[in-house]
Amino acid sequence: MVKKFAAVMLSAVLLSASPLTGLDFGGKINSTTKYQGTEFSALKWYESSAAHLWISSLFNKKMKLKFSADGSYEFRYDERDNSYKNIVDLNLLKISGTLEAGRYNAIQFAVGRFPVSDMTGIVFSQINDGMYIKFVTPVIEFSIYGGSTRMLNAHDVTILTPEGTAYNPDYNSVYVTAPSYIPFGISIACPSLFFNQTLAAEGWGFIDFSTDRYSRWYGTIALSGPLSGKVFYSLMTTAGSENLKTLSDLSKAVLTLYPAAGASVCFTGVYASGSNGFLSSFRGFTSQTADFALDEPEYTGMIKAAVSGSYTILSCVCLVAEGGCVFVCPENTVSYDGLQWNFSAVWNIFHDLQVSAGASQYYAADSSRNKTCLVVTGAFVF
Amino acid sequence: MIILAAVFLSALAAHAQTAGFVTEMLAAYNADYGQVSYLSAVYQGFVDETASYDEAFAALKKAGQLPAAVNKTDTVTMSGLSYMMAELWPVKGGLMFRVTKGASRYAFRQFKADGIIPVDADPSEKVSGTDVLTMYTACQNKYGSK
Repeated sequence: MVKKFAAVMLSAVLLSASPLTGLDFGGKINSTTKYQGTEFSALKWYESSAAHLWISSLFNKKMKLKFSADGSYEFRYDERDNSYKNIVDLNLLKISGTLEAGRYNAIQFAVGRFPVSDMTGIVFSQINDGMYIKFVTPVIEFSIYGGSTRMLNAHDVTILTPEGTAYNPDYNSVYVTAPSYIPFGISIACPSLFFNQTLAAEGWGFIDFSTDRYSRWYGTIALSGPLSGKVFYSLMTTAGSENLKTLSDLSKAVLTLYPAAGASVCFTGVYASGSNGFLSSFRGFTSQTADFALDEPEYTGMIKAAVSGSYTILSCVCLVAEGGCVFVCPENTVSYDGLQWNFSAVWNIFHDLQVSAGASQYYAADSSRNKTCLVVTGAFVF
Repeated sequence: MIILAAVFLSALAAHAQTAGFVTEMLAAYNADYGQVSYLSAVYQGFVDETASYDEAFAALKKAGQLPAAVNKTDTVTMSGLSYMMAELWPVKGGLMFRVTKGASRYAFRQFKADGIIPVDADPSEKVSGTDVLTMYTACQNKYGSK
């Protein structure tokens, strides 16, 4: 199997250098317009417009050996600081494939730049340069990932750095290289372990290759599966550490119901530790906004409970509503932080033309962190 | 395979397709434009079932229902087959499908969006006779009742 895999990888490299056997290509134009601010009467304009071009080529159907790439140009304007940005990025550049060994076993692999996420979607969720291999059997799935963040565009990927970081790039450039880290992860999952429940464990390490000395380590255990035909759950907890000197926790529980065709209801609870007892403040590797507050806080020292629902009408309009309550716990006390709601409607006019409109608000205990946001988006693929 | 052929035969019974054609189609490792032209032309009544592949191909060419620059013996690609199948059914289609009047690449993408062909299909992929009949059956199920 190892020799076969090595042969396939060599073939992939050779094929990528040879004339493409069959080429598909296309593009996408999308735009996001926001008006946001502390009060409805003082909203500031934010605009993002982007054009994407992509190509893909299937070298071998049996092995699903495929080359794919996506590049983009984006213009951003933010009235809050009157800033303009022109951003060029390579969002996808990968060779991927699947080696099937028998009916139920397979090795999936990908090399290059592609999206990567940890199980929580909070610690690490971004495009990244690296290599991924997944071994799939009916009883166990095992995957490993290794890569580098150095060549990523920091306009599109925000890696959390420590206070006083040596990383201080010029954000006026169209391409800003990101801080240098080596992310690597190992994941083991046992699907259908008992009653279709899945038990999974995952470890991620992010070794700092800059002078910040800010390496981070995470270990996650998750249990998920159906409770009945229309009710699903997932429970996960993550232990985090900075330079193996601290211990923090991120826990997440999700209950999802599908009460009717086209409808779903989701209850979510998240706890990210602050300096709570023996725990230190949790901090992810990449930036993830935890709530709708004006200062866009990260998942650290907070508790959030939220309920969301979605319903699809006329097969092409999806309505989504969400409400939540946020508490903060930076130290050993818990205090109320705010309430939030969001409503959006997505209309798929055609499969290649989509528009959406939405509104959200955050009512903070500290009114200077209130936020109202109105957003309209459009996307057209060709 | 037998079920597929049975479904296909029953679907075409009203048009008196020959079982011989279906058998030949099922056996084809690579289907050609002559074979798919016969299927399309007979279904639409451009030619009768005794017509040759040459006559069916010529009839479709006259009707402007063939992809550009293809010959009767060329192997059909997934996008070429999508273009020809989109002529058979009332496919409403996306914006680009409508603007380009069902061009091959957008017929192919429309069929992906509608679940007619797999999402990992490639437009230049050569199709077998079974692929042709599978797509025909899927189109009939999706668009046939409209």
